[in-house]
Amino acid sequence: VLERAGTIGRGWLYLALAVVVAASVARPFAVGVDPGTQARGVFNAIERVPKGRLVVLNFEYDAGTEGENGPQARALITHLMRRGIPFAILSLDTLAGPTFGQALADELGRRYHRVEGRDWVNWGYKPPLDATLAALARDIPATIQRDFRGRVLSSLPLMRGIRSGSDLGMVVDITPGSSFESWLRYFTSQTGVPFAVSPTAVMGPTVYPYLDSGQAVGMLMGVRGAAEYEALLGSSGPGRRRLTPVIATHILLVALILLGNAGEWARRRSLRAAEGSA
Amino acid sequence: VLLFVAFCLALLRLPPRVRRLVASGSSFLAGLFYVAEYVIPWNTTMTDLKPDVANIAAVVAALALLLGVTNLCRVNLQPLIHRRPGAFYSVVFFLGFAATLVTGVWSFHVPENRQVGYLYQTILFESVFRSLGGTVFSLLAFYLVSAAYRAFRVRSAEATLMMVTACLVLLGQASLVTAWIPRDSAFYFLKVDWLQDWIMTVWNMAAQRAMVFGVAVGAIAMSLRLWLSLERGRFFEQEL
Repeated sequence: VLERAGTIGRGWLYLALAVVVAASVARPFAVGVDPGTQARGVFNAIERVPKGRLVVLNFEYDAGTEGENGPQARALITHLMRRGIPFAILSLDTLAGPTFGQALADELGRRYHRVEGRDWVNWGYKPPLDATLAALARDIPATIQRDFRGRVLSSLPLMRGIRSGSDLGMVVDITPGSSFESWLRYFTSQTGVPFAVSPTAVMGPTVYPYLDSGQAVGMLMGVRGAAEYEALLGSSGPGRRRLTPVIATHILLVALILLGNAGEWARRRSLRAAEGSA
Repeated sequence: VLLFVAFCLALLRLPPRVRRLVASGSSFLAGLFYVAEYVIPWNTTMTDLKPDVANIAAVVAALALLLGVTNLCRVNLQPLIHRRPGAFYSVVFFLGFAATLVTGVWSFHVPENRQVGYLYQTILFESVFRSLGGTVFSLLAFYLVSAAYRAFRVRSAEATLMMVTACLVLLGQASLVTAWIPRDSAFYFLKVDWLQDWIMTVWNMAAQRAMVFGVAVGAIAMSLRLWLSLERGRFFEQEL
């Protein structure tokens, strides 16, 4: 029986995953979330942003990673809107990014009575990544020129007094890729603006060297990062809800790895026994 | 944009050797501009011209997008014209493309028309695009389960180390496994969150740093080869 554990067909593995995910989505279990150092770093940095200073949220994600990056963005916008800190939505490399940001800002703006143009602005999609970042560090109105709706940037109330990148309060890069490296290279190294990263769980490990060097003030890693941030905000949102299937899937993965190894061990043992008897 | 298109058309009429020279010269000048602007410590005319040069790059990126759309339409037209198997998918592509383009442009220019806005934002973007994107990406989870089950086998000391590390990091994500261990306990070091954090901040960080240094050195070499048009290979050897 144990030998068979090492040769389970792909179909059964897929079925097990589908059942585990469906069950944990249908019947989510309560998960205690203990916010870690990285999430606290982002939270405290936003708490330190002076009132009236503009924060830039870089929406570099698409539909594929909305499951992870969406709850992070929602938690960040919730925090900014609660504190009344104006923010700008931007994307430099992903076409759908500003649309995701706009949808979230519209929804949360209604809840927290925040208005577009006064409390947030959508700068839209401004490629290419590196060249635009270098230009943004020097002159924001000249680089962006008009917002998502075609309004001249300098005519918007929340853009008053903002010339270069140094006038910003903070930047958060919500990304499934390595766009944060461009931000560090071309923007924050020139302006000294506090910078945080909100990557997917799979990209999280690549951010650690920049956290250690102090170039990034914190990180929200995957759905767990979003759930930790929600815990810091004292609210329960999609981050915590989506953490249940994530946890269940990880436990399934570990169980399958152990099962596969048990099967492999049994197979080797029977092979040795067969060789011994021969 | 028109100037750039005219330039490209004129370039096509030139002999291949001259075309290659123009392409190499343009790459060299563009690279030289950014290098010189960065190296010279004080502000020069180049510093003022930097946003304009960035705009040129943006225009080229926009043209690349146009090229991508044209190519996609061309590729999907072939099965329709020749009635090849799979032509149905091309029909779906053209329908989706037209619906998104028309409703997107319409809702942008006439925001007061809420029905078109609903069709674009709620139906096409939220319900179709987001769900399809999520579905395609979630397929990775199935491959991941299958690959983890087959690949993480104890075959050598290195493989065992890899497997144990992977299991600890995975369990660290599923923190509730050892959530019952209190913070002030003598066995706190057995908490998977703590172990995961230790792996990430010590071993992972050292490895990541080494990779960053290696990639940076490689990027410098690659940039120099591209800047000086020394790069050779299938694409670069093709006649321009």
